[in-house]
Amino acid sequence: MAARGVASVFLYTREAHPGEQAPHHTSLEDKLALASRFQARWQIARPILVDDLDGPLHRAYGTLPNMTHIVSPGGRILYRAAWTDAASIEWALEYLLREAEERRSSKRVAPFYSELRGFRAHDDYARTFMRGLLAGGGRQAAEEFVAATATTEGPAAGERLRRALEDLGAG
Amino acid sequence: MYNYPSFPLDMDNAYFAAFRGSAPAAGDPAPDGTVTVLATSVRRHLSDFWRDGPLVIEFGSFT
Repeated sequence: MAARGVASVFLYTREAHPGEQAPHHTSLEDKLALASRFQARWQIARPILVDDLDGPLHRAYGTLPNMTHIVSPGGRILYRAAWTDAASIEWALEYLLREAEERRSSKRVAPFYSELRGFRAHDDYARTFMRGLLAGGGRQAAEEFVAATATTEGPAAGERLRRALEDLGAG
Repeated sequence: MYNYPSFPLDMDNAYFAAFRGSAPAAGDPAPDGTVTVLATSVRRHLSDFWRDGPLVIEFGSFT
């Protein structure tokens, strides 16, 4: 997509699930240091932009932990998703690049509002999510998410995550 | 508290509802502000990155 004039950045926010391995930030220096570790761990090639300590940009866009937006050169939001989803981003970029082509032709382009309810598919959501939390944040991050899920979604949902954590040898 | 030391028990649902209800949507002006570029430590406007073409902004952290 870079060859077609599309840029991509990663905007580093607060730690969504702080834990022993990725504690909450207490200064911008702290935040920059953890962002560097994150870059090295995942070998991220895109530019990483670090939001200020209190997250003004993260909050202005909606405060979700893993959202994605596409912004036009004119500074308008063209696409937003509550969860990063490569398939719909790719589709949206193709669609938006086609709009740009139409604008360059003699056609009149009339924008309209549109929404899409996305989806995530996992073989084993509980195990995948718990493994990620253990690797990124540590045991605290995993335990706290189990407790939060039991509170918001009920004891059965919490129990599913608890069992996945035990299966990973960290219960 | 933005940089909470522990994941709040009841956080997620409220934030996901607010994203749908009150966060800027498609067609709205994209919020701008300053960021620190990790590779150079230089402070830039986020809008510097969308001036020349569409910009994909993925938000996230280690966890």
